[in-house]
Amino acid sequence: MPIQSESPTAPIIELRHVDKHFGDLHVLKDVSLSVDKGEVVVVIGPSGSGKSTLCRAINRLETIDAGEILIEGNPLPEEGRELAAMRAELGMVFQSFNLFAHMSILQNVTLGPIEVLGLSKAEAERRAMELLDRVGVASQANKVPAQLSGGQQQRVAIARSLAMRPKAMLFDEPTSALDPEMINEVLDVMVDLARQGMTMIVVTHEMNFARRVADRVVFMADGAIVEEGAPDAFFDQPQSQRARDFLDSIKGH
Amino acid sequence: MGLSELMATYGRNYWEALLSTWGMTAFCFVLVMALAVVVTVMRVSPFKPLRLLGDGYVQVFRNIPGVALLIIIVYALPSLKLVLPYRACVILTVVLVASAFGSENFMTGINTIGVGQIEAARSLGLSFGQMLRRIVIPQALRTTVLPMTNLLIAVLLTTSIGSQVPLDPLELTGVVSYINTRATGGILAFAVSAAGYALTAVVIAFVGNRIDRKVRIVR
Amino acid sequence: MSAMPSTSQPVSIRDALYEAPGPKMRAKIRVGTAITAALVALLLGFAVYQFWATGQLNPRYWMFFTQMGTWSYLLAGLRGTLAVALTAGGIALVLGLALMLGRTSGIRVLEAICRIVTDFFRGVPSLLLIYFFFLVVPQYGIRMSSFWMLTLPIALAASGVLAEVFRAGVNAVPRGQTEAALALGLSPFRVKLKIVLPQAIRYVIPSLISQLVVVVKDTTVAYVVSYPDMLQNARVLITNYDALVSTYLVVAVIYILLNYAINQLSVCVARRSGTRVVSRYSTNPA
Repeated sequence: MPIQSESPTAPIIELRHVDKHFGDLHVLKDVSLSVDKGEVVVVIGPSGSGKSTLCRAINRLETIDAGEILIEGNPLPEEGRELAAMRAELGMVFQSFNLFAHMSILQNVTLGPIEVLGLSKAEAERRAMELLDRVGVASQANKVPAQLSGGQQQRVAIARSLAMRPKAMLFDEPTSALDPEMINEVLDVMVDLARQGMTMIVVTHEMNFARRVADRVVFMADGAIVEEGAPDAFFDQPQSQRARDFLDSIKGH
Repeated sequence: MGLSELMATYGRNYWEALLSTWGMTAFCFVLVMALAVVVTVMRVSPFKPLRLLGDGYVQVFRNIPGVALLIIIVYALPSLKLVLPYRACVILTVVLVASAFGSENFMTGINTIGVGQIEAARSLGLSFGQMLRRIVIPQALRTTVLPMTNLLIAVLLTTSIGSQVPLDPLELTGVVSYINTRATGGILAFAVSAAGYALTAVVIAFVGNRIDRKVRIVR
Repeated sequence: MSAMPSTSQPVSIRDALYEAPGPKMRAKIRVGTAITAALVALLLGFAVYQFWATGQLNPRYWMFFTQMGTWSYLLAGLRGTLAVALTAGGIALVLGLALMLGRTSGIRVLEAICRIVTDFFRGVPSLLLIYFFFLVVPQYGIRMSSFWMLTLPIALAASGVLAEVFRAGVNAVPRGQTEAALALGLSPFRVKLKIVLPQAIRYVIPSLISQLVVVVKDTTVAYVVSYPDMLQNARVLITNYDALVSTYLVVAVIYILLNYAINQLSVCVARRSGTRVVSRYSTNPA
């Protein structure tokens, strides 16, 4: 159940009639979505359905052509300090980890708090070690990203985002670049995070994760939200033909 | 002529020439780095005219033969009311050519960073300046150590175009021609200068490799 | 419609440094573009003005470029340039390959010698080598034509660089290839010849092409040995027409276009074969 926030009217993230094109390609078609505090929304759909673009648009890594994106009721700033401040409040985890290659694991996690939040180095490191411990890579703190496995790197990336104490976390296919045996170590961290009440939007192909953790499943195809609902209802009785086809195609594997 | 006789007669010339080559190399390289930074900033600036100018600069000066450029600077610029001392002509030629390559090195360094890290920095709420200072510039500098080492060696070798104009003191290539017009220096006269260049290059390469090993970014 | 780079297309880092601008940034960029456009125009304008003020735009400095004779003379020079460049390039290919093979031969003494020779030719300016062939070699009674006095030193200087390019290519061949071939019972020598080398050469073809630029540049000191290359022929034109600035500029443009074309060819081949141009082994830009 979504937990209501102090300002009961405004969802943490809200998209209203969002449209986006890449050249001739209409990647987001009139997409509207609202995510309340503490809610875990899992976005699924075939590749090229626009789910990644949707996720990236929320912190303006992609611009939109029409519609509105609201964060706690305020329109997403277009540039400058306001945009940076808004991004600092939204954690983002990428498919390809994107750790800073020239920094140690610890520095990766302390960079944001020191530069953006103005924390002291000692305080940032204390917070970072706590988080690294929580995601199970504290012993790697002094290594550089290339020395870690993909699964470890992705857990560091999650810790790096969490160090900013974000209001919500965006996950853009966080396990798609991982070897199969490493997927669960990352998903476990995400499950914990969800249990602790973090607001999350997760773009993924991990259907078991969606079923276990999601408060709501959003199914996208061809740039539009085709169907959304509670995970059990969606997976057991999908309403649309597109969703049935998609679920069948996955079961085949 | 034996080595001892050669050095007794011309040792001083060689020594001055070596210092002249080293001096020009060091001075040029400082200017090369400075100009390469300026050109690179132009090429990554958001302003199209500056980008075009920077790109054009690099295409012109990485493709023009150094000797041809030197001849233009020495003989053609005076016709345009721009007269420079010979040593300044040599330095200007080396700096113009090498900075084009220096800028290419920087661009390659920036390119290896990858879009992903930039987006990650942005997502943390880093400003443009913070991103440049903490992510882009440190990585670009660390990945360009080896190419810049090679560029420094290239600058050393390129200063040899100084032999094509009257310089005082001569540099290491000019001194060979100077000695051979006065005496039959034979292979030794050449070997002394060659050793001066080659040993300097070896030392530069050694130091560059050491620095690179220290700061190299594992990917 | 959005003009911004999309995730579906590869984005150059140059553009990725900046995000899609908001309205304030767009305005700033517009103003900045206008100002910098004015500055660049001013710069070019000043250059043209300087030409005009010093009388260099006078038609008499330029009209002789409309004559066929001028061009055929310059082209004869260009042929001379290319003859030296291609011959030197060919020799350097063979020498560079030999130096690399020696350096990776597994025979200690040979390795050391090839390493020293490679480092020497990479660490010495080609001009100094040219003086060696021009001033020193004749002292030992060896007569050479101006063509070879120019071509040989350029070839030697390039061979050092090419040896390193080849070595980079050999290092780029996956070790598994050698191991698999050895496991088949091929001798190490045959493995190198039949398995490693062909792949290594394929990797470095773009780099070899781009090294031709260095060779072309080296030929411009042809006047030292009085060989008629393009720059030397340009000097003759200058004495005939008393048109120094215009002639040197035209010749410089031809060199730039020639080298640009070679570089583009190298990039083209690299793209088609999916390899990378190894240019960082070059220590000889001018």
